[in-house]
Amino acid sequence: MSLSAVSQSTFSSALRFGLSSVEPVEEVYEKKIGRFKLIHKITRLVPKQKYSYRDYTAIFLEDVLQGMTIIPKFDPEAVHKMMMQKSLEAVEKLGLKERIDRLEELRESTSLSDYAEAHDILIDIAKELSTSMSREDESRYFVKKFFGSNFALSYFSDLMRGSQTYNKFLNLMEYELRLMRGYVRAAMQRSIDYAMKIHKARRVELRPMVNASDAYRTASMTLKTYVEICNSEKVEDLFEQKMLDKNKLDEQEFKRLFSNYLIKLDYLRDKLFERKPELFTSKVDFTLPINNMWKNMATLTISS
Amino acid sequence: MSRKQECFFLDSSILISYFFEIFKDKIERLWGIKTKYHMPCYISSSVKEECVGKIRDILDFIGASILSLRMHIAGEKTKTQHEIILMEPDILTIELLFGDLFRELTDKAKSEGKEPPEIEQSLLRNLEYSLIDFLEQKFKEHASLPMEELENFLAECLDKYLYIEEAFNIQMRNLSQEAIIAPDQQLVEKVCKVGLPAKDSKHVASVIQYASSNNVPTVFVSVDYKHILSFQVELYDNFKLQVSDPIYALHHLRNEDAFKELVTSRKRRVSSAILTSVPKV
Repeated sequence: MSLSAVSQSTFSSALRFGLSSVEPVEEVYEKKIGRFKLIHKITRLVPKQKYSYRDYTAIFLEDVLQGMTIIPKFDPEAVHKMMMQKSLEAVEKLGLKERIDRLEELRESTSLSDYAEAHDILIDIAKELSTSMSREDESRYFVKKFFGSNFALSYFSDLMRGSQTYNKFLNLMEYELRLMRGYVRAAMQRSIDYAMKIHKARRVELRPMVNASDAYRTASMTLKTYVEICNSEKVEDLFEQKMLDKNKLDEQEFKRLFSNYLIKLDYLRDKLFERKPELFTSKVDFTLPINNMWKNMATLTISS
Repeated sequence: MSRKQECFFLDSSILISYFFEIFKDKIERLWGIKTKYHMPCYISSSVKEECVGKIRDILDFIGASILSLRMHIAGEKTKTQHEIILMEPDILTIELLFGDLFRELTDKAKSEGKEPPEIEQSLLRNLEYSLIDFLEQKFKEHASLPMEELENFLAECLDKYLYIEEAFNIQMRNLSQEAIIAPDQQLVEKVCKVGLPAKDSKHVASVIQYASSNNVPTVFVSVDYKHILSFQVELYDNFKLQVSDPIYALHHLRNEDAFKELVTSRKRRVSSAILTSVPKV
């Protein structure tokens, strides 16, 4: 399975975890100083739900398959099982398995420090995956895909635009989550109720963006999975290296999925732009050779 | 009820010129009017679509050309090499292959009974220049290059395209606001009959529709003389729509009656000239 495909499902788990509902939990620290026992009580807000990577991946893949009008060729359950397997294999290849296993262990725990550890692991995974492929590598990856297909290059440019947008989203979320932690921590000094109010307000504020990203992520994976299914001879071939032939797709279904993908992507971009326009490029240096080529070419299309 | 304000509608040629910094004087004048008079500037849905489509088409053209070049180079090289390596003299192979691509373009147009496609030829010329420049830079550092350098060139084109597209969309937002208009097909056809190409007819029909349903003075601003501005009189005569170069745009908004009079008197002159030129039997 490609890096982008697996990373998207993992990111989602991390972010949802970070944004889940919270409840106050009291933690008691004891420290012996000579004959005295120092008892230090701290009340913290921790996530109510105990999500795991596996759960999210399974639900996410179900959503992906439901997005297709018909799943061609294969039994949907077999496709789901295979994608789940490939996703977990990719996690192993990426060196994330230990951390994912640790998350599974922590799932059963009720200790506050374990909650915190799980949270840190998920944010860490999201960060690592979001930076695992540079922009340069990514454009080379999509050009390779283009050379191994008969699709127009603009199809892959739209996929790359999506992936770049998702990276912007992750950067923003990381920033917002840290900010939220800071606000909540400060609010805790006043009262727990107030901290919970702050936490809820921030979550409500971020919800439209997270929802937009979820919708994009599902639409993107549905589109890619559809193209993969149509170009695979057997279930085992899914997300393996192969020639992608657009003639093997049902044109109507592909158009529907592609247009849905673009709508969801544009919506996510709008939401991100509203929140942090600095994430987007607004100036281009036309003295750089390739940019200059673009300028010369684009201006050729103007008749004067 | 507040009175709807007079406005400009912008053509794709304005947005592209603005972004790629050409016709700077004209565009700056338009920008000045917009700022000074708080003039609303709109773009129709069809103009937005065309702008995005134009840059996208170039990307696909670049992609298809490099793909074809790569196939041909591989075809030539595999006759003598196992692992394909590019050496400086291979630039001459590329020269010949570009020659083939030019011929293909011309032959295709000929077989369809069309004139040689000037725009595609110029696009190819630009691509050729950039690729050779790119390879020359690489040969300065290495005596031989792997085939992947073609991939790297295309990857850079793709990467820069995404930056340009992003920045273009932001500038489009700053300069104008989208007016979502689905132009009436019959109106589009009527505009087409005046002589405008189908795409431009859609933009013009959208503006006519907006102006008549909102009843506001509207000018469609463009720098496209070949397809739009040269039909200025006909468009006003038939649809009461003023189209103009940015340097005249404000004058059109403020002096529509004068323009109307000019068009009418010109029409009168033209028809009397036709009458006098008809030979008496």
